[in-house]
Amino acid sequence: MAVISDAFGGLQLTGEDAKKFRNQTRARFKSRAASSSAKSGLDVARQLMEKGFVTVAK
Amino acid sequence: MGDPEIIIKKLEAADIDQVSRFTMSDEEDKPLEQFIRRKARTSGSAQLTQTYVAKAADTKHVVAYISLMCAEVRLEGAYSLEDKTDANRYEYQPAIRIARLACCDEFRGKKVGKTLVEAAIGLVLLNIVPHAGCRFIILDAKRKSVSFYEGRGFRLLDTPENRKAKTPLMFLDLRSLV
Repeated sequence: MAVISDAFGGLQLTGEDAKKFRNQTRARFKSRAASSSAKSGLDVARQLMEKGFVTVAK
Repeated sequence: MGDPEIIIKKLEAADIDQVSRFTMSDEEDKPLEQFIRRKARTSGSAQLTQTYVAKAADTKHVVAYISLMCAEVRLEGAYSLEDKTDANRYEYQPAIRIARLACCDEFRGKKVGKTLVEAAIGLVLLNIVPHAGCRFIILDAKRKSVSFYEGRGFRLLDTPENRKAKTPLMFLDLRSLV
């Protein structure tokens, strides 16, 4: 089994790592954190595409 | 006095986005410092990565960045014949890799990295998933950053080898977000 990342982005999983990855992604996994990140990120991305930049108050 | 506003944008020419002062004191992070200083623009010109930067609104100096690149996930030997009716049977699946994420010392803890990762997720969902197809965002996390990415919705590949790896694989399954 192995997790191999190459310099140009590729990821190869073999053996138990591949099977675990398949099992972890087989069903739709609902994550509140992911949904929240996507919602915030889409707001930022839309402004970025529209104006070329986005200002975020810290 | 509050923290300054942050501008997120794509990395541009040196007279617009200055990277020469980008500093990370941790030796482990020096390759990230060198990438933005010396390689990010040429890597972008070569269409290998695209880099988005964060700057304080009143300066030209980059304080954080995220670099994205196209990727694929290859699963070798993960499927048996009975899986062939499952939509998950594909051995190769498209992905975007967060190749690098870095924040300079003085802007740590100000949620700039969080904003950049969220922006990357949004850009992929808005511009890539509907037009080209993309199933995952993947990254090799530093161990100290695993909880940060979990807070953004990424999952650790849950194998003993990966959990103890120096840079464990993490992924976000975009199918759950569209």
